[in-house]
This record gives sequence, structure tokens and C-alpha cells, in this order.
Amino acid sequence: MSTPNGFEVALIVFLLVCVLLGTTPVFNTAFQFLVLPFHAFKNHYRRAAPYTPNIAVVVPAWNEGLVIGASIDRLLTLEYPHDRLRIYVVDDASTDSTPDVVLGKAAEHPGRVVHLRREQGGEGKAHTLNHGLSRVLADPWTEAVLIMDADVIFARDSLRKMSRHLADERVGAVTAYIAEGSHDRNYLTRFIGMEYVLAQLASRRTQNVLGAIACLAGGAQLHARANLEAIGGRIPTGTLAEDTMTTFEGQLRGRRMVFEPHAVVLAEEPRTVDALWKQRLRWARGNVQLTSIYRKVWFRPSRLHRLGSLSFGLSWFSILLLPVWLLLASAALFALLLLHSGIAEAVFRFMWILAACTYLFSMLYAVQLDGRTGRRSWREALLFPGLGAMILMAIALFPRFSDALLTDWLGALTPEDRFVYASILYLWGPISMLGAWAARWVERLPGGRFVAGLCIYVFGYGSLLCAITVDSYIKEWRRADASWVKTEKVGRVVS
Amino acid sequence: MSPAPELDEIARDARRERRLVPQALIALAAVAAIAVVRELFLR
Repeated sequence: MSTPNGFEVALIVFLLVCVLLGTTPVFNTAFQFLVLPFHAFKNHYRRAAPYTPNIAVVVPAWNEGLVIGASIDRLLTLEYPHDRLRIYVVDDASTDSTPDVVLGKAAEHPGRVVHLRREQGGEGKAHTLNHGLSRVLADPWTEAVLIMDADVIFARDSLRKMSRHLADERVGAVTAYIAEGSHDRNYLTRFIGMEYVLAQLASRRTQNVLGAIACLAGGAQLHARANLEAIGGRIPTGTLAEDTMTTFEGQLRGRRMVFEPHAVVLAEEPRTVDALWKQRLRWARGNVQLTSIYRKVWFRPSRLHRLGSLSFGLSWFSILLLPVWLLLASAALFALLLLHSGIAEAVFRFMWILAACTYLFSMLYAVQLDGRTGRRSWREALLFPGLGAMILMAIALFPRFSDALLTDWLGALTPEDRFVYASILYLWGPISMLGAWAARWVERLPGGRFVAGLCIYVFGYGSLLCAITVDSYIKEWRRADASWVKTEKVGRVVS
Repeated sequence: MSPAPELDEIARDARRERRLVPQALIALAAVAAIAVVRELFLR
């Protein structure tokens, strides 16, 4: 190749910067996992103390007849003073057995279980919660409010482990570790189980260290009464991410949020790509909406909160813009291939070796954080980025070995063959996203569930989440219908 | 539950968090091992 002229040098430098920017999520993951061990020393346990406030549990329920009974039974047997716990089920105009089940429990436990009925429902979770909040906050008995989902099963000691952090008046709310708890797991729930280890036991501990929590899990958030009153006594409506918005509002008023990793709450998660897609699309669209709502918060440090810190902004936008970073890196790498294949190869190797090291470190760390999930989902941990990405990592780490294998299989490669081969490698990010997207469509065909599962193992669970994020951009851009789509729960969780 | 066992529980959970350090070192050692293997292959 001839020596590049000034313009080509400038273009190459620009493309290198694009690749570096595109690698932001990898740098962010590495940073998150390197900060994680500091939770051993920088945590909230020093300020925690035995504390059992009067807790009003608000459970929003729409057609939860299959699961609500078990949830109430578990709440009634928690290791928490019985006279300090009241359960308010907000029945959002259910048409199944929900009212009968809840009324039955209320009759068995008068004063401890209360049935609140909304005759006109379907407005979304925030409206349902606000119906309950207006009732419980009107009663001076209430010192704290636990907001939970109707299907989750709390470990018996979990509420006590959460409430001990509220002994510190600076703490506005506490969240627990939501673990996938279905008794009959399939490949997707095992992936989700692993994802929750990464997103909660790892990331939220890091957020504890850095002082800003992105989201209190909607399935288990314990608020101090003062925190809810500070945000107007209502859960913000008008967004699909009401739990994240509540988390932000509390922190913007200077209250601290705490993640308690030893309070475990089991939840039932989607078992099909389509159901997962609908659930995550809601979450992703909510995050797109919040990014715009809090546009004056990002990267603007404040003495009151840490939401404007560089680390929090980096983490937020790494996830929100994951597909953008991926496309940027791939497009820049492909352009480099056209301009200067030698540089492209070196950059490819740098990117994927960095990705391999980060992936290995984070997964090996994650499987130790929750031994139960680690033992059950080690295959999904291994294949989280997909078989294709693992092969790319192996090629980047051991180039001679992969070259020798390729020559053995295909014979001597022509320059055209090498170009096609390199193009597939460099464009693997977008290819895997399309493959994961295809899994949703294939799933609807006869025998499609097996093929969809195969797609996820090959293209990666991360690529699936990335594809859903792209869909959220499209839906928000088109201002598509944003009505609440409930994730169906049928009572698969066993304690 | 009386305050004393609860205080013990808080201390126990705080101690459990200390495990994060050796867990990180184990993960780091595995990555280092892969890096060494790579170097040996490339020689």
C-alpha cells in the first residue's frame, strides 16, 4: 500500500477516534467491575441499624389471581413485627379472581390485608400505585412504604434487611436484589438470571460506591415516608419508567438511595423472546424518555446529588446508546479496512482483546456473586455475548492459530476471500444484532422456539438487548402507542 | 428479632461484602492466565 497523503492520515485518525468512542461500553463495563470490589469497604452497613418502622405495602394488581395469594401469604410470614406491616392490594379493575383472592385474605387477616379497588383501570402502574399511596400516606401510622410487584416472593429476612438502612435519615429508599426464581427455567430465564446478577449484584453495588443509583427495582422498593412526601406523595406518571423516575426524583432532592444485595426477592421472568421484547421495550422507551426529561442533569456535577457525575453519565449513556456505539465502531473499522487493512487488523485485535479481557473478568466475577445462579446459568454466562463473539475473541487473541485453521479448512485464501472474511469479522456487531432481531420473528413459526434459542446462543443475549434498544428508538421517534403492556405472570416462582 | 442479633446480622453482611476482594482477584488471575497463554502461543 502506498504512503497515505495528509487527507488520508486525517481520515484514519478520525476513524480511529470513532472506533475508540465505539468501544465506550467496553471501557464502562471494565470500569464498573474494577470499582465493584471497593463495595467491600465503601458501603452503607456502617450507618445501618436495627430499625422496624410501620410499613405499608402497596401491591398494584391487574388480573394477578394466579400469583397474588402466594405473595400475600409470604408477606404475612416475613420476619418483621406483624403489628408493623399492613398490606394494601390496589386492584386495578381486575376481571379475574384477583378481588376474590384478596378479599378472602382480607377477611382472614382483618386490618393486615386491605383490598383497594379501582373501578376504571388500565391507565398504567403509576396511576395504580398512586391510588394506594394516597390512601396509605393519609394515615399517620405509615412510616415507610414498600412498593412491590404482585408476583414477587420476598425471602423471609429481606424486608428487615432493607429497613435497617432507613435508620439513616439521609436514605430515601432501599432496593433489593430481584433474582429470577421460576422453578421450571428455560434458556431465556437462565440468561435473564445471569443478566440480573450483572445488572444488580455487580452494577448496583458499584452505584452504591459511586453514590448514584440508576433505578430502584420496581418489584421491591422501600421508601421512607419523607422521601415520598418530598416528591409530592405520588409516583410520576407520563413515562414508561416510573420506577427510574422515582429514583431520580428522590436523589435530585438530596436523598440517598441504597441497594441491599443480601435482601433477595424472587420474580418470574419472561420465557419467550417476544414476551421479553415487550417488557424490555417498555423499559428502554422509558429510559429514552427520561434521558430527555433530565437533559439538564447529565454531566453537570452538583453538591446535592451524584446523578450529574461523569461516571454516572458514562454508565447511563453507555447502555442507552449501546447500538450507536456498536454501529460506530463497526462502520469505522470497515472504513479502515477499505483505507488501510493493516491498521484495521491491528485496531480489530485491540478492540476484541480488550472486549475478551473485560468479558472474562466480568463473567468470572459475576458467577461468584450469586453461587446459585452461577451454578444454574454458567452456560449462559459463558455464551452471554454469543458464540460468534466468542469466536471473534479467540481470533483476536490467537491470530496465528485461527489463520492456520482457516487455511486448513479452505486452502490458500485470495485477497478477495480475505476481504470478505475481514468484513464479516468487523461487521459482526450489526450482524449479531440483526440475528437477534430475527430470533423474535422465527419464534412465531412452527418449531421456531428452538431456532430462536439457537439464534440467542449464537448471536448473544447482549445483541438481543441491543436490538430491543434500537426498536425503542424507532418507537419513540414514531411516537408509537405507549400504553402499558403487562408482563404475564402465572405463578412459577417457588421460594 | 431483638437488636443484638440484628446488629450481628448487619456485621455479618458487612463481612460478607469483604469477599468481593478475593473474588475480584480470582477473576483477575484467570484473565492474567489467558494473557500468559496468549504470549506463549505467539512466541
